[in-house]
Amino acid sequence: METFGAAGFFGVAINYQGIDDAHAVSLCPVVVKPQHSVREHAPAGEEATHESRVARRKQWSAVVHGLSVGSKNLFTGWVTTAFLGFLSLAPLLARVLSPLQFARLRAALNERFFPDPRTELAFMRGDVDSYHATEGLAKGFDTDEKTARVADLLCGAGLTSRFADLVIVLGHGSTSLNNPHESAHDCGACGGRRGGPNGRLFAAMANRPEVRDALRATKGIDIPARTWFVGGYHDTCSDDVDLYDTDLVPAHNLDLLNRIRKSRDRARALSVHERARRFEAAEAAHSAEDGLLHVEERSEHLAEPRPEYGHCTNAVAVVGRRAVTRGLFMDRRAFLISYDAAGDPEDKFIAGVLGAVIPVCAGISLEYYFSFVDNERYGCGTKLPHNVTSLLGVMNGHAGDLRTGLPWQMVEIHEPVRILFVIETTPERLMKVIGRNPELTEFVENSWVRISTMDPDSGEIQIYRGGGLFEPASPAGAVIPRAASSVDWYRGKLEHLPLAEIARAV
Amino acid sequence: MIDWTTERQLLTALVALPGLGFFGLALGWLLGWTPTEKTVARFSASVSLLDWAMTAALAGLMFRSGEAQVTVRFGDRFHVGSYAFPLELMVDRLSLPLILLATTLAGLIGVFSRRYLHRDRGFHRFYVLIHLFTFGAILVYAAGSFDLLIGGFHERAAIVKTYSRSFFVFCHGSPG
Repeated sequence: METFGAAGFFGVAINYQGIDDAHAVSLCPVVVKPQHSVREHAPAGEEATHESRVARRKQWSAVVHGLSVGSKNLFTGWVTTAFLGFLSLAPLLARVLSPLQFARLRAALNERFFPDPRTELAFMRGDVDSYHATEGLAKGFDTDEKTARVADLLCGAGLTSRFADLVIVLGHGSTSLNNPHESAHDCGACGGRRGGPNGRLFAAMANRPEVRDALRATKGIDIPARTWFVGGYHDTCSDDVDLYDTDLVPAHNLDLLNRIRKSRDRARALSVHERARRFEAAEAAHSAEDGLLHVEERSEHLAEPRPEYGHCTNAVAVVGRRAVTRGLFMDRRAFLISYDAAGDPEDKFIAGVLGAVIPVCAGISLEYYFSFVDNERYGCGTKLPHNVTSLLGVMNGHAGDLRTGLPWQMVEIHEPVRILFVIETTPERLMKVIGRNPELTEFVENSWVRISTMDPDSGEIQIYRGGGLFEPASPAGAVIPRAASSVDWYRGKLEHLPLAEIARAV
Repeated sequence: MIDWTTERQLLTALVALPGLGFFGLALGWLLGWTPTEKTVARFSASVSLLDWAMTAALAGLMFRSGEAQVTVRFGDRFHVGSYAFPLELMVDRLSLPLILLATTLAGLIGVFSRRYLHRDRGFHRFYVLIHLFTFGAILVYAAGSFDLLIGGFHERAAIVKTYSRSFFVFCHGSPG
């Protein structure tokens, strides 16, 4: 099993509308304007289920909306408060005293009363005439566009050969209850939204026979017939992982898919256990299973101002082969972006990788940096007195200005440092790429980020000091400590931990 | 001399308990006691649970005996001519459910706030004051006289003004 990291929109900038969504949204970095629309819809044979779901959702929404408005206006407010107010005590008690069990009950009821149809993405386009007249967007992608996007990501990440039978493409996002800052935990590369559809779309594109033919003919990338891509979504709050369109997985890959599901469940439990060490309330999480229950409860807790710490403590972005960082305990402080310099002698792909990664990672890093150094001015202060106002933002109590930036509870354990990029290439090659991109030049020359290179052959590190000058890093006497396992290294510790070399994968 | 039946003992205890909780936490605070959040929250939860249990037990006893009300009279606070300030607690079939609701909500707020106020500077102060609030709320419902009811009702002008404004905006913002 091998892992790769890439900017979370996977190079597919789309205007996307899910089957239950009221309107479409852009799933791409905020500096990019999507040119393609993709819609989720119910395929033939699923229309009846879909229509039933839509009808029931409408009825239920009308009831909820009626009660909500009714409880607030002058006349019906008296009636609903007097006769129905008492009934709201039961769900309130359940939510506060047993949030996880209540969430499971609610999910079961949802499943029972709002049947979920099988869906698929509408992303195919045969000709340019299908441009949508009003939105100015192309419907889906033609073969060349699909091929280009799949090739860019695979080549940039260095995944051009040795394909596994199953390739899982996971977008990410975050779901938490009673959290006006929920989107701040979502995918930065998707404009602060959830990247599941991007992963699903990328996988669907890579499975198209015509795309594979074009990849073979024009890029020399030969994806074997046995290889199947599966899109998915990783909820970073509960560490839940959903895989999409698994009914389409070929029969010869089903056993492998089941093994991957088991590995996934084990991996998420271990990941959660490591993550939960930062939560003081998770003191009882002695085992991975305890940790999993704890974070699942956090995501469903009405009173939880810290559902997760997200990118808090971020400090480093490593752009290079995964082999360079394998076996290192990095305390969840590093973005790991896959790039293989050996497969990019003309520096074609690094420009695309850095063009997406530097603005996204720098944006995230600076957001945490400034929100920490002056939380009242650049952040939005403590979450506790926040009120959601007009569905626009939050303000303190019932008066004052809208508050911007991140709340204190999101940044309280952050260490305010400018992010350090370690890029596996040479200084000459890197500066050529950065010099060609005015946006990246601004980030680097104005010291919003720090950059360094790691020579792909010798491993020598050079740190950029500005004005085109690199200096060799001289970690004299620096010894990376060793630990038997990640758990041995972090157990019982709440503070930041230094790098450690892990003797064995857990 | 008070005839201390079980019902009267329960009534007195359920009113006094949140007040004792307030004094206990407040006195500790003044003396520099710095308990952990877990200790404070568990103390608060114990007070709420015990109070709720005593209220439920009193309700059960009244239901079984068919008593319509329970009264405890501690005498008068003072006399001025023919006027007296009676110190009297009284619960009946109307006030007891309201006390049960108040203790339930106070306990719920205590459980909610343990997570919500985690690492907040005002954590200890909040739990001191939630007991004072609960004591006041129960005293309002269990007051045997109008004078004592006023004693349980504490008012701060700024809070009343703020909530009146919010109430006005909510109610009149959508009269349809």
